[in-house]
Amino acid sequence: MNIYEIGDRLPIGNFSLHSKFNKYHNFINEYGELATVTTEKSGPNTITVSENLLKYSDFLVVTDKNLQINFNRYQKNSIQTYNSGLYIDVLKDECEDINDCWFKTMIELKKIYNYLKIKDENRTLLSIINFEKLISLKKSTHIQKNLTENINNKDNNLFSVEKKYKFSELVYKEIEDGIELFLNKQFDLAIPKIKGHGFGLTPSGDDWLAGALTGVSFYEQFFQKKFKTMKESIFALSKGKNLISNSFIYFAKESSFFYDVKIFLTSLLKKDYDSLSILGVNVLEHGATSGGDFLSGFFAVLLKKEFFSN
Amino acid sequence: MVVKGVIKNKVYFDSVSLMRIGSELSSMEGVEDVAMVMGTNENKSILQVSGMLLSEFSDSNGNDLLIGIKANSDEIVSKVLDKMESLLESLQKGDSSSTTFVPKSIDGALKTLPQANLAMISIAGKYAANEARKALNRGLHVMIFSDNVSIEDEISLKKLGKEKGLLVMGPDCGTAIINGVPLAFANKVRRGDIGIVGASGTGMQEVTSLISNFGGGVSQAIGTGGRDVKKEVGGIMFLEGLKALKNDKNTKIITLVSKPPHQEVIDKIAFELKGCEKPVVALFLGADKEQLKDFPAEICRTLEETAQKSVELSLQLSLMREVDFTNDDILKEKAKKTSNQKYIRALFSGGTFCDEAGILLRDHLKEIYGNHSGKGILPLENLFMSQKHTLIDLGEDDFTVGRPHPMIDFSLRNKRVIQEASDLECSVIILDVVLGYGSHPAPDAELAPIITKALSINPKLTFISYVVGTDADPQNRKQVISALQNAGSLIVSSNRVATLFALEIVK
Repeated sequence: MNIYEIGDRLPIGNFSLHSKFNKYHNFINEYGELATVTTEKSGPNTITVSENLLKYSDFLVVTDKNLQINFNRYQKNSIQTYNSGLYIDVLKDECEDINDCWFKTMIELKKIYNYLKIKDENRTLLSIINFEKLISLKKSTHIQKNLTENINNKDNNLFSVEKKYKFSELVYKEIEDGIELFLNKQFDLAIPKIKGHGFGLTPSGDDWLAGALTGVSFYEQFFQKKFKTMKESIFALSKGKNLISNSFIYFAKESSFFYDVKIFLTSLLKKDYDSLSILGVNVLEHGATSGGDFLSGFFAVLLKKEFFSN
Repeated sequence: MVVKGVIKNKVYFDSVSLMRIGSELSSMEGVEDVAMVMGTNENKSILQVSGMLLSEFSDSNGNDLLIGIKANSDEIVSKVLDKMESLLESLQKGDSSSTTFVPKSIDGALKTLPQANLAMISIAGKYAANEARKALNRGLHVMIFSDNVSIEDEISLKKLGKEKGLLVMGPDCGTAIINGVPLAFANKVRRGDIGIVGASGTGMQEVTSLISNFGGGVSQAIGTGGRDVKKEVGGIMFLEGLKALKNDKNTKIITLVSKPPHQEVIDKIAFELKGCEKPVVALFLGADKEQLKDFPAEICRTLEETAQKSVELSLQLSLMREVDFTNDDILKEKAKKTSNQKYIRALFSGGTFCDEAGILLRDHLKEIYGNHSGKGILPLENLFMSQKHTLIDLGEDDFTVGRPHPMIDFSLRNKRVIQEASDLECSVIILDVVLGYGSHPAPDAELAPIITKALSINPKLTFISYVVGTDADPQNRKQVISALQNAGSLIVSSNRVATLFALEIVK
């Protein structure tokens, strides 16, 4: 019964089981913080274990020095730690002109976006949302409209699946309206239309917000700039009652990444473009739809040229 | 119209499952709409707009699954609820209903089967090296099917294996036949006196199958993983495999199959072969003549020739083989083409076939595009769109990440076949059909309808297929061949013949 790795931001506390999936057991501590025991790749708050150990993971205690899964106790310093941060200085590494480098990175991002969109096959926001139209819009076209008005005005549809407006279509339509507002930096109007919307344990909208914050973190890392106020205000508006979503969004704000995301971002920063499609697919395949929803947010903020301008 | 619903407290399903079940329920007779979502305030606001927010949902929260149903009658609603319960139940059972004992560790597996002497490792690459090391330290030979193992780990594992006198096949080793037992993607071949070391999975499958079909037999087929023959690894296991075959009393002929090894590795193999009393047949697919000057073996150029030469040496006779196609066959195919139909589109599930086709075509055709680099092959601008003559390995990571290998899952290739059939410039489509353990149990059921559909789109198209495998494979080889023929494909015996036949048609 092995533990392979623990995340560098694993919270401390007495945890109780929140939810169980085949490859993940989610635990919540007395402070509402999330830790995940998993057989999959590591993240800031994960404990990566063998299948046998996951099977018997029903309660968890984490202290400064030890962790205990059911009745098995382990010393933390004997377990490898997963480092969730990005520590790459693009300027120092191999980039003479940062704007020129960014331009090239954008070309690669666009290519990988197009590729992943095809791979997604209309499963997640990445391919369901009519993204090209959204990122090319100069100003929000229906900022003041509420959901009902948008539904009644079917000609204003940016949504790429059939116009029946059944339940699932309504969900995506609302998110799409939110994304348009988000990309115009009207976060207070946008985020209520995105967060909590969608299917599954972490709704699509929450995964999108985590992706968008990751995009901001990536931009910060690239240009060695800080967008602290923007990130904090997005986070404050995005926090809800879903503890798992809150945790994902928090780590994205803190520039603390899950393994597949970290490797994907590292390849982009290091201009190692050969394996980018494979690494992008690894992110896309995360969870049932979470990976694609997350990537949709990530690409949205980076490909919308005006998003980081004043 | 009736609107009803239920709440399930603290029940979690992934989003795709919820959407799939929701969609299945929505398609039932008399159902207007079904919503299955977690009870966040935001989802509730959309339930309200869609007329499915029930008063009983008001106290729910993000930890509750809400199910709203809009249907023509109460009776239909209860049918939907019954079906939903059974679908959710089967989903939950699917998660944890297995009762068969499956060992979760190497030690557990050894307790179940203490006489085992080989461990097959097929887990996430990140963890594979650790488990392989454990297996070697417990005295087991190792076959690592996993990829994404670092080259440092590969070298250290192979050095450890060599030190302990144990084989380390892989990482990324897809094919081996040890003591007559096919491992991973491998075929049921006759046993005999031809021993093979290979750094090419599908290459080994074709060579071992053809050996068997030509009347010869295989003593051992030792896979090494493609990276073994690179400079960094230095051919550690290729050489160990070769030594094992030299010392194996049941092996009379040694056959080597690989893409070109690094020159230093070729030199090491040549050194190891000096003084070898057994005849050696070698295929280093695509290697320059200069690289193999003075190499002490019968050098072959194709997989088919390698199999044939090995059998001839084994059986001490010259194989007389029937031709697969005649001039009349070529003329018949050419006659039905339009002036626009100029190009070959080869859609492979085996990477080595893609390389071999490229080598056979490059001296005769211009503008060959593909996703394998090689002399005379231009990179495709878009992997999902063919250009001129196109040779595609659909087993490459670009196509397989997140989905099974095309030998198991035909969906991607089937889509591509229809795409090619719709291209008026496409003249010939080549398909490999790989049988054996690990492969699709009934490839004809997948491919035959697609070939028929493609020919209904473009009746002037030529399909050339070849079936890699033997009559002893778990699939019914004869039935597969017959089904493909009935669907309208020409059938030949090897990749080489398929490629040359296609070449003659488009020349």
